[in-house]
Amino acid sequence: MRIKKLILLVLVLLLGFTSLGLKTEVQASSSTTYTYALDDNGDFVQTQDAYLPGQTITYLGLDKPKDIAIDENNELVIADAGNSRVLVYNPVTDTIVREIRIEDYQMHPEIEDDPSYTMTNPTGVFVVLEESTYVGLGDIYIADANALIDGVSFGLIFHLDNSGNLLEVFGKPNSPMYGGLDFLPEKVSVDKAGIMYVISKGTSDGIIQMSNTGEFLGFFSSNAVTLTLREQIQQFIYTDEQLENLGINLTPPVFTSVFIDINGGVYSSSSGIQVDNIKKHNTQGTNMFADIFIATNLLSDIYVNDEGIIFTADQNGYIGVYTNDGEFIYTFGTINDVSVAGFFKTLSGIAVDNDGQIWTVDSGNSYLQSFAPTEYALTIYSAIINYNNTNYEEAIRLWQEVLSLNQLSILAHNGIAKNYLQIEEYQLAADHFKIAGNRDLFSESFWELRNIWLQAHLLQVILITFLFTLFYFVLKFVDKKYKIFAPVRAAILKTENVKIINDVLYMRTVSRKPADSFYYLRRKNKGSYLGALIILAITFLSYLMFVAGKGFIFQYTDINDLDLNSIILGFVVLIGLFIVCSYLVTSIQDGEGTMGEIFKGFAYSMWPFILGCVFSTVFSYVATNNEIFMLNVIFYIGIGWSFVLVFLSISEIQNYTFGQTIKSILLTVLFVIIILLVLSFIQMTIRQVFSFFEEFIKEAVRNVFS
Amino acid sequence: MFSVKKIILIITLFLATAPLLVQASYVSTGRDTQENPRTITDIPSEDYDELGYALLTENSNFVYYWQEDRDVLVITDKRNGYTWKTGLDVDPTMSRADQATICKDLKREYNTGQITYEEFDEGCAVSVDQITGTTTGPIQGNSLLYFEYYSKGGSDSVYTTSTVYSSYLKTLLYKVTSTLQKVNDDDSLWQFTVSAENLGVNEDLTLTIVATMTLTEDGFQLEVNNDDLSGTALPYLSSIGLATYLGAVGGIDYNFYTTPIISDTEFGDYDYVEEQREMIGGYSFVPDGAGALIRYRDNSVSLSKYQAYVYGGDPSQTTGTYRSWAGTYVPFKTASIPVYGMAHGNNQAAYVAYATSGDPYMYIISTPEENVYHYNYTHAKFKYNFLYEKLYTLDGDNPVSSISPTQNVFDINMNFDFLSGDGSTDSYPANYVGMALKYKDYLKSIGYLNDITTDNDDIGLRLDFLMADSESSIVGYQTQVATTAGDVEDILNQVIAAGITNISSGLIGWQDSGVTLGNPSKADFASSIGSKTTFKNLIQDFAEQGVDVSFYQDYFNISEEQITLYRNAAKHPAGWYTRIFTYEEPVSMFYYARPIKSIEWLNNQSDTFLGMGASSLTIDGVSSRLITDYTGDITYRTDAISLYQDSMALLKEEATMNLTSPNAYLFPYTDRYLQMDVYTTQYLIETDTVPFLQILLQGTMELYAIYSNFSFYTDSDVLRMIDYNVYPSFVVTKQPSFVLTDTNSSEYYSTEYVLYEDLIQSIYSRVNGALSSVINADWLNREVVELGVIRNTYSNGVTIIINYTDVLKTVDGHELTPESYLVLGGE
Repeated sequence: MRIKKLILLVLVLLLGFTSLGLKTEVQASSSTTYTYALDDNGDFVQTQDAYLPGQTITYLGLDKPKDIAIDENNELVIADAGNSRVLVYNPVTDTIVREIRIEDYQMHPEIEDDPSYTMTNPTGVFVVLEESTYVGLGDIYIADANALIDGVSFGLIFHLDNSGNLLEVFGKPNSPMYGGLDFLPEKVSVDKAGIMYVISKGTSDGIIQMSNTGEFLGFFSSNAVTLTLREQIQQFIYTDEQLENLGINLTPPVFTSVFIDINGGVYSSSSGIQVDNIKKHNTQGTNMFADIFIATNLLSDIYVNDEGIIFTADQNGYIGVYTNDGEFIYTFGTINDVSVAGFFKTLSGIAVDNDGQIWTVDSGNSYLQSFAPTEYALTIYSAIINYNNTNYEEAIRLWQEVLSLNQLSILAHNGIAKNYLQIEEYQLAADHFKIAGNRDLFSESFWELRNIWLQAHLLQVILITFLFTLFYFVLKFVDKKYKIFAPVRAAILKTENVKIINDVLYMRTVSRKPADSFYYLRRKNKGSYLGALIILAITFLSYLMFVAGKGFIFQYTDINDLDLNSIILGFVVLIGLFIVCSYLVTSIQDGEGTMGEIFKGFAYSMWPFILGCVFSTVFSYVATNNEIFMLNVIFYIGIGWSFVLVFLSISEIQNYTFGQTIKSILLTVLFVIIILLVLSFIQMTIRQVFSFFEEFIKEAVRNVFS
Repeated sequence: MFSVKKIILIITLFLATAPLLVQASYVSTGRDTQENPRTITDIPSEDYDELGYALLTENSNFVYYWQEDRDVLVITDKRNGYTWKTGLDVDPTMSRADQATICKDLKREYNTGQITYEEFDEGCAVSVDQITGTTTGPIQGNSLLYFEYYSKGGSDSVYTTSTVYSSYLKTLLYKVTSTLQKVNDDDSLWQFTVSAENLGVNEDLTLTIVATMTLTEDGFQLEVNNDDLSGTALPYLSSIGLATYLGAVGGIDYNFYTTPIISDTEFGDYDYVEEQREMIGGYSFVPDGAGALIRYRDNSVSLSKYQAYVYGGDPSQTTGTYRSWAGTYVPFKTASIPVYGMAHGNNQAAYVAYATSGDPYMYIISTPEENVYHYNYTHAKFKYNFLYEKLYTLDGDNPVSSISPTQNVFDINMNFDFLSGDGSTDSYPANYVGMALKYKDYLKSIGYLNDITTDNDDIGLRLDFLMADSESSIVGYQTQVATTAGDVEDILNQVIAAGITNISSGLIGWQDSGVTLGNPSKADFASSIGSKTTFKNLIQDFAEQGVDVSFYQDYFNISEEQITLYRNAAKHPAGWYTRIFTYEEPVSMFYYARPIKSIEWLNNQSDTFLGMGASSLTIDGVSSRLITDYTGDITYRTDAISLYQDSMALLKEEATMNLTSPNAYLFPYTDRYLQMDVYTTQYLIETDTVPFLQILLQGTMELYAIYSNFSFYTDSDVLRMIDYNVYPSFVVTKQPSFVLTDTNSSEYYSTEYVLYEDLIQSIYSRVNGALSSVINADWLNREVVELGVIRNTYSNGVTIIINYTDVLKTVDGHELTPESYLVLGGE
């Protein structure tokens, strides 16, 4: 499932190279890119268009615009980096309201040697939307990593009022804590207290937090390097150079944008990872969005609207939308060199105006693009807002609308279910969570349902249990006196005495009295090869049941996604190899047992494993996430017990001491591994030989016939 | 889980509140039609006899002149006094550098007192077209014809494309001569011969192209027959382009000026400024999807040009498409008709250009201002050969760039018909409507289009059923059934009971293994979906009620899981089966059927269907796609067209033909046009979307829109159906769509009938309310009354006014509520 996503992501990078829509598509669209949501398998699926390309403003003469913000008048504030200016543009009246340039500007020209400031490369803009004693409404903050003071390059943050007058300039903090780090501000965001959150180019320490006087307060949040187990091992072994060659990056991913919403929430985006690259920070800087699904990995900007809906821009041309809880809603957009509405080259900035329109700047295209929400998108947002405002009934109604427009929407099923959970409609909640594949919340609903059922039926359960117990004893008493069940007992005994059934059932005895039983098994008094085979078949079926047949909460893989062939092959090969290897190992270690005896011993040890599989599978239907421990205990007791039995069988059959048995099992495992390795080598070689002949024949055919 | 009633209530509520949800004011985009272009008030006129142009001939509508030095045909339209030129007709000898030299010389003369300052000033103040600033600019701007050919550099590694223009100067790299000669002493028939030598770098190649020019009462015709191409460069010929700058608008002038005298001792100097000429009102029309207009604009950024291969790209004649990937964007729309045009002014002058031969190899290209030459121009070029990646390894790595050893063989015949005025005299207004009507009359004259009349008082409804598709199972694939034959019967009965009777239905995925894996060469029925007898009864029962039920089949896109590729899949010249990788599951790799096989399968299945009593066929894939097949004897696009046409001509005699987005060559065999697009690709240069294709086909076949299920259900979408005269269509299933989640049909994400029951009624009744009044009438005109308000006029006196805006509008004294329509006149 993860892999599919990765493949999609990798392949979409290749899109730019084909402009032929070659396969007949089932549906046209008024948009130019498809909108994708997630299905219950975690794969992307098409959904109704969320946004339609709106206006394209081509005549502003922008050059590599890097950032965009919306001011208090619903006007666009654009960091036009290539032209060293910030532009305030009103899309409704279609006019340039203000062009902000700072060139050799002295704030106090009356003072001698007053420094002059020049803005050369504004890459980040932020507009204050809530007034406080520290910041004015509409104040603009601009981040410029290449600004000039008296002609010398410095990283600066400019603070201007809403008429474009320069109020303050902040440079590198002179705190010793900040030390010798460079200060190259690329993005800036400011909270109500005037505290600035700055992203400095090339700084891997995190987001710089500065007071309203420009003092360094600390690093607000930082990104961690995440390595896989394999990479960790490689890091341990290899030199830095080798690691570099392997593409293992030990510097943490960089922050690309920071945003503070109207409620003071701090959000950040990062590039280069697909985990945790959208963060919502608490006041300590800790990420409150751990483990959310994030659609793309090269985020360049983040914007959060008044309702908390999160919009992200990805360098590869994708716009992503997430709920206020960080739940993925949908993504759309594409990267392409052809100038078509809604296509991007290097999407660099995103903002959403008061009418809900998305505005984007693209540092590869010199124009602005807007996207207008469709009714589908507006309905989804409305449903989310209603849920947040505890209007659950209304939210359910809206989610149903969404569902009727896209029956595959797990977002809608999840949304409906969450509302049902709130209004204590647990059955409906559970149904929708199940469709949405949301196991955690399904477990929660199921727990409630089970609880309700237990509360309602506890008395009946006790009563029925009591009555059954009573009935049992009465029957037993009557039977003792009048032997009414004698024919039944005789029939059972007769069945049990059928040779093969008896052979199979002997595994129960093995698990209870292993030492004696293995002795009998060896002496051929009890059990048989056929019995052992049947036991193994039962073992396989129980295992398959455990793998594919658990209750919804614990069944992570869809049965259709299971590869039956490899399970069978794996099972047979592993057991077969173990038995053969065990025989080989023991036969050179003075073992007394034959291969057949080892086979029988192994098979007859499986009873606890079978029970473990069956019981944990059955238990999974009534358990919730809270009881996952018990489920595991049942299963592992089964495995453990069977392992002990296998151990004892070897010890008994081979007449080994404890130490000899351990040694022989370890050697057997080692042998199995070696043989598997050899087999895979052989398989590869055969394949190569085969493909050599295939190539040879094809080449011959090609030369003869064409 | 949730009751049906509840959902119906929800949908009703949703529809009722839908207009309330979108509060933003009406902002028009490239998906709408803008108001008429500006009127040209000052129509320039020149005396071409005086200027030394050779008079070729004169007929009742036009006077034709020829400028021999520049190869420019001048057409003066006597009806409106407007002059068209096939080239820019600029002086190629006068470049910016030349003018600077003149200035310099004049200055020297002035400095030495030979001339006065006024003479210096006047002599210097000559503006020069920016196109003359580059070496090939003026030649390109003037040429009637150009050709591109592949040449190799000295390193013998990669091919590059070089362009040769017919009016090449003899002093330049290539030796090009061009002559115009009268044929058979007929004033209206001329032969234009272009000979080029010294082509190529290492080889001395030659090429001669003979074009026949016919001057007619409608305009002129250009023909380049394959037999008239000769020379050693022929195998390297890539393409031929015609009349590139006919009607081009724009250009930059270098305005030279002198600076005033400062003193007796300091002399005035000269300099120049670049000045963009003012764009006249007007637009280019290109057949992108429904039809797009590209207005003449002075762009401030560089935007890509529109370029489309008529009838869609050829996967076998494209570099590297022996393996390609589908995108996350909506595929670019096909140019399904070989026609384009340009309009100057507000219903003043226009031309429509269409190919009557060579169309399968035609490119239509519209280049915007700011893209190299600062002109807006639109033209056609024709493809003879192509570059591809030759493979020498089995895995396809390290391909070598090659050109095909075989060329496309075809004759070019391009017609340029000129339109004038608002259509009051000849019913062809000089705008896109006139272009459509003019082309329509041509197609009618050759029998490609025929008027149809129907006895039905109501418009048709297309109701397709998605029956089944395959998903991966623990062993192989298993079929998921979304609709059975019985369900189809129930649903159709419900729709009929609700009052809709003019219905046609296609059954998608009727085969045993469903839509993706159903073998197009067979007809495997499954009892779980519907047995042959069940379907037979279904078809016959509904036929009695006048409802047409047919089997849908795609005969073009195939997969390895569906049918063996050997002898069935088309091959790329690289040797691979041409393929495309999609992100779909479980089947992700698709191939293309060989044309000969498509036809074989179509004929076989049709025999079965017709034998079962079906009266119609629903065909996808082959209807809209063309491919060259390099298996054995090459099947070219032209061969494929003949195969399709021959087969469908026979089938049409026996059945009603439902074709999915057919290309022009299948128009004669189309009774119902399915999945009609109402949008364009939305190139940024495209300023308007217009129903060109709809105007062209209206009244000659039934036109059904794209499915309303998928982002085409809102009020403004309904208005668009009415505006574009297309009938609604839906695809439904009995089961919820999520039963097909794990199949390739997961892209049908909303199909369950109970969810659509009311929407079908509502959309159908609204569209029928308007369009039923114009059944059997001809669509005469379409006007933009004001932004967002459209007036369509029909031959039976009915006028339909559509208000797309969200405010009340008053048109011709009638009030239109927000997002509504009004039918005026008629009975």
